[in-house]
Amino acid sequence: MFDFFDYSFMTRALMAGVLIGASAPLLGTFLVARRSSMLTDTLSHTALAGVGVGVIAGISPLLGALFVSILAATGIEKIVTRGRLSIEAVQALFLSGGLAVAVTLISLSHTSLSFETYLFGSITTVNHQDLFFLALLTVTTFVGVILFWWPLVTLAFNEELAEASGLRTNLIKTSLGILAALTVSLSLKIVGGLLIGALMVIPVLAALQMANSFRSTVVLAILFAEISVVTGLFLSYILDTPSGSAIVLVSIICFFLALILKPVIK
Amino acid sequence: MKVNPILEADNVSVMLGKHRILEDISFTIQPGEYVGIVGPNGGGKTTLLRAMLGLLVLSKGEIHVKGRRAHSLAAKKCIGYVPQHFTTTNSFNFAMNVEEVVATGLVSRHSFGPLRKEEKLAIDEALEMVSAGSLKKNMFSDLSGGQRQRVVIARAMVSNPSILFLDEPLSAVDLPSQKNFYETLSKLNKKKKLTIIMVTHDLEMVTAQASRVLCLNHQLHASCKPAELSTHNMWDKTFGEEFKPIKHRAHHV
Repeated sequence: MFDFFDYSFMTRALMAGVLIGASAPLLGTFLVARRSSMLTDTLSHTALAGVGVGVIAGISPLLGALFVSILAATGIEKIVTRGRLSIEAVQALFLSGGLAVAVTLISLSHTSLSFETYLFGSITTVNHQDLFFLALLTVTTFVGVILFWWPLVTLAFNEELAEASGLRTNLIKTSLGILAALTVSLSLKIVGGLLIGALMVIPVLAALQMANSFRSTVVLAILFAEISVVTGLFLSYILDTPSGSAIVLVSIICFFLALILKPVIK
Repeated sequence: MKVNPILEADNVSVMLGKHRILEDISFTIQPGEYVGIVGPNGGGKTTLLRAMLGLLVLSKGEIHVKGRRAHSLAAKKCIGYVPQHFTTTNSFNFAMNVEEVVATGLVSRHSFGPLRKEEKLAIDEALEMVSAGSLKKNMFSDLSGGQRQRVVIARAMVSNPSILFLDEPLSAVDLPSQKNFYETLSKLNKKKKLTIIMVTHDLEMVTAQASRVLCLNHQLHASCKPAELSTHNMWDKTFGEEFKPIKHRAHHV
């Protein structure tokens, strides 16, 4: 266990994990408050489709994931409005459609790429470029949330009130969606497309058991996510299992501990 | 001296899909008025309120708040809004304390960075105004329907608006809380000269408290003092001939 840091890939994985552990629950808090938890899974599945597009097009799978998930984040609301459909229904469409496209494209490409890496995460695959983009995303997300804290909280509280206050709600929702799409895409290698949604949501659910304000929910959610990421990565290394599943399992344990301890702490 | 109206609706029509919800509605509201908007379900009351709040695209006509178009940010800075559905327990279940809820009422004036000291003081004053100062650190989702409604009024009042809009604010609130609520509104109207525009089904409240009533059923059937409604048979014209108002204990007319 103590030779963990002897491997540079582990150091990179840990740094990437810590960055994801900060930005994923920060965005996840606003999505859960708006009852849009499913958006995270929808975006991660469409990001997987983007991996397939990247492989077929001969470009970086990550670039494909970024492109397709941003397209989905901006397109979902438009389809909801144009088709007069519920957002859950459209998200379900993108979720299953994304996975279907991903599997089909990867099968057709006959690539040597391990699709499992993008499904469940792999700690050996994070490179310096990934780290740079993750750091940039995390700083952007934090600065954006701190500067626009009250518009975001108002939108989370009630969309109609936010509109009546003169906020450009569509712009805020689209910005949140794009940031979530970026987070999901850049987290594919560490947590995996099937599990990143869980890291955006489960720490928030754990935080809600103990929090007494919106602000404390964000702080606790980040704390739970960081505990999950760091512990999960160590477990993944020791047990030689995919990193995503280990991280999410620890976050689930955090949730149940918070649930059990709720009457004592709150 | 002529006083400029605080709100003007000029030939307002609203279509939702193929349905005409509002047809050629015109009226003005003076500063300090307490206006009740009544009418049958589906008659366009909430649509008119949303139009005044600048939340709808009008098919025809214009609405101005303090001389500015209702859609403009300048108009939205002048208003406070208490929507429906905040009294039910499942309306908002996320972790948000009362202070944070009230702070969101400042967002039309302050959308950037942390709150200033004077804004924190304004939050305290708004909560005291509705006798909810002791609830400041409570979770909004833990409050009763009546307490939630007071907090949402504090939220609407924290930016010191010129007009307070309320949309059927007392669904699922018990009678004593309703009485407190109406007393609070009356106090704000009389002491702060706040203009109040309320959509309601509570006809008894309207006749007891409002200074003017707008009777709406797709068209504006009446705009008059409450006492004039019965004499001009306006209830029948708005609601149909079978209509009979029922008294309840929240008001003492």
